[in-house]
Amino acid sequence: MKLSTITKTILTTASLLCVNQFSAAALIPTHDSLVTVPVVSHQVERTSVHFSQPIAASQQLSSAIDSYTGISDEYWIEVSGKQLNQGIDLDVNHPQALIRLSAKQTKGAWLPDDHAIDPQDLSLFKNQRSIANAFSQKVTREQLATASIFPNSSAVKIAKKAGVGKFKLKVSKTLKSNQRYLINVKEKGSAYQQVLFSERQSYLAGQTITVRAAINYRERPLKNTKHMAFIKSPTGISQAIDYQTEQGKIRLAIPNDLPATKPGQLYELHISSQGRDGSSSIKRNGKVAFAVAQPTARMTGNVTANNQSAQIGLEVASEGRYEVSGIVFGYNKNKVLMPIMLSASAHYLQAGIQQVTLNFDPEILKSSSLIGPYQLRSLKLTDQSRMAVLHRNHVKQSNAITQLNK
Amino acid sequence: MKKIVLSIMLCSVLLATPAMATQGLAFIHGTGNQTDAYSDYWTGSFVNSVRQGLNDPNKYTVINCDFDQFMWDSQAAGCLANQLTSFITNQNITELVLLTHSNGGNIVRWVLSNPTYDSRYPNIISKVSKVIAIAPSSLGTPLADAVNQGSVFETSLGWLLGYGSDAVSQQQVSWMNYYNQNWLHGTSGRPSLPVIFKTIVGSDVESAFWDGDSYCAGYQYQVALETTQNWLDSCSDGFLNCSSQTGAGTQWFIDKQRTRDSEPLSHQQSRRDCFNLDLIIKNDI
Repeated sequence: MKLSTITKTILTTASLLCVNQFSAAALIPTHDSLVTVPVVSHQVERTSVHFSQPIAASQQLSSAIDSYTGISDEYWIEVSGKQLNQGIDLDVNHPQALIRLSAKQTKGAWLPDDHAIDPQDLSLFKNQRSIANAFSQKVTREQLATASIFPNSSAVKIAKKAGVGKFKLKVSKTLKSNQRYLINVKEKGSAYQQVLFSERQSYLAGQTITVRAAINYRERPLKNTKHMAFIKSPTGISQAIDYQTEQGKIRLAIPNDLPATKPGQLYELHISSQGRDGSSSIKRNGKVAFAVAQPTARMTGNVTANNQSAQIGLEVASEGRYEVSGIVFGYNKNKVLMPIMLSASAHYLQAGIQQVTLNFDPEILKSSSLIGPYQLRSLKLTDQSRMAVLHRNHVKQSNAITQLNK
Repeated sequence: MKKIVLSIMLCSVLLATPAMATQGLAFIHGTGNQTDAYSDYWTGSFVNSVRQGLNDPNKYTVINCDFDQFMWDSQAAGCLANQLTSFITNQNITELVLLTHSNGGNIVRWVLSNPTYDSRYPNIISKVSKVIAIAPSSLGTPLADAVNQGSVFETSLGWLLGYGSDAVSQQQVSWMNYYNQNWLHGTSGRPSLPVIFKTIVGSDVESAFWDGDSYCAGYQYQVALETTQNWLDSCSDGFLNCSSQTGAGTQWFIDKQRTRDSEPLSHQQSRRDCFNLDLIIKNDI
């Protein structure tokens, strides 16, 4: 079926803005929010590139845009060498937990040669009594380094007979007192799990993040669980934040003073949770990575289309390379809308009002068994030069449709 | 008369034969900054066995790029695009098979998912007949998260394959979730990839010292990877959960379904000629 030229813009992205401005899933910059930022210093493609690919009609495109669920059965604490020599308290709620001990090398502080903790120097106490043969597995720094993953680290697995509860872990060899160590307690298979849920991982500067947090015992949330949060930037800097917690929801406005990132890098919202179940104390750590985009451009809502392409109106505030993409849908014989083709076009643009072309591939339409009237959905705008998702319409938001043919 | 018949037969054969595709094969390594991936990452015995599956076994290339960088970086995907474009052009390749290991699958998915990012990408995509992704880290790995625990980074000493790099940050579970949802195709609920992306899954690590199979690709790695399994699901190759390896594209097979004596492939073994892996891939090409 041939596509006829569309004569008017139908239900534009601008109208979507009005409908969804309070939606948690909204990623729609406004005119007033646009910012002008310098041209990126790295090399960026200048040639306009168009690409279309068929999408199988049977493919299910997700209705969850950008959500994330993180599950943690572990926690970590930071201690000094002095504390390890004196003995540190560890809550363990699952048999045969693994304890990893990693010497931290922070900027400007080189690790001493003898930083690694030999598992032979570790003792485990319960009720102030030393546990004989407390570890079923001891992994040295050299063995862990062979896996090319954990540096400066050793690990032990608590023997099954030691059970669970409150332990004290002590290092007999004298450590440098101010050397920092990260102690990671991994309770693989534990029924106590921290569950973090975020509806999104993509934000525009100034928006609000909401994360649901809980420690569950199987499916049951522990009551009175406390959560503490901070943001870690990609450069490794931690930042205290103002946030509200209410019924397991952690809510915070994205701070304006987050350190700049390299394009595409993410920030992390770290959440430490602590709960009680009877006499047991349960600790868990988890995090949600998120992107914060500077709104360098937006779709104006002006969209026209014909059988070859769509013209998309953009308001560009910062020079750069921008991609517009969308999915063309058609009807099957039961009159159900199905995806046919994903099309994307990228252009290097100067600041100002722009009309960019999103090319379709008529051959893909011809070879599809789906028929018109076709619809263009899931319009998305990205700033490729800054690796930022700027503007996105949900695939099932029916008002994000531009009909290509009536 | 004989000559005429022979000529007619020859002409018939030539006319009946379609233009032969020129097949090519690229070996694409995982995380790390490689300068001699042939020797250091894959080993010659693996490469030279797999490439026998080509019509012309000389039409292959071993990629050497800096995959310590984020996948979109000019030294990662940009370098890959450079080397693939040169290979395609110089060897007149019309059907390219990409064989990836680990994070190499993510770099390739970046190219396949973002064809407009770089004007070289569409030509590469048009030549790719399929991707065979060995143990791809499509959904990241909890080990990358464990490496990055703490309130500030542990800048590292002695990280052998560049772990602790941008590539490791990228492979943290919640980071990969973001990239999969926003920048990459092929995972559940996302648009499909424009070419076949079929995965080989490593499902376990065996490190019994009495078992000769534990020594394939190095016994010491098996011991270490068995330790790292503590951070992973019961189905893992010591570095990646099976769920991550099957997170994008379509599953071709789980190691034990096809390997010799149903041996599992650890993350170290799945880039070596262990348990007939090389022959399985060769026969598929």
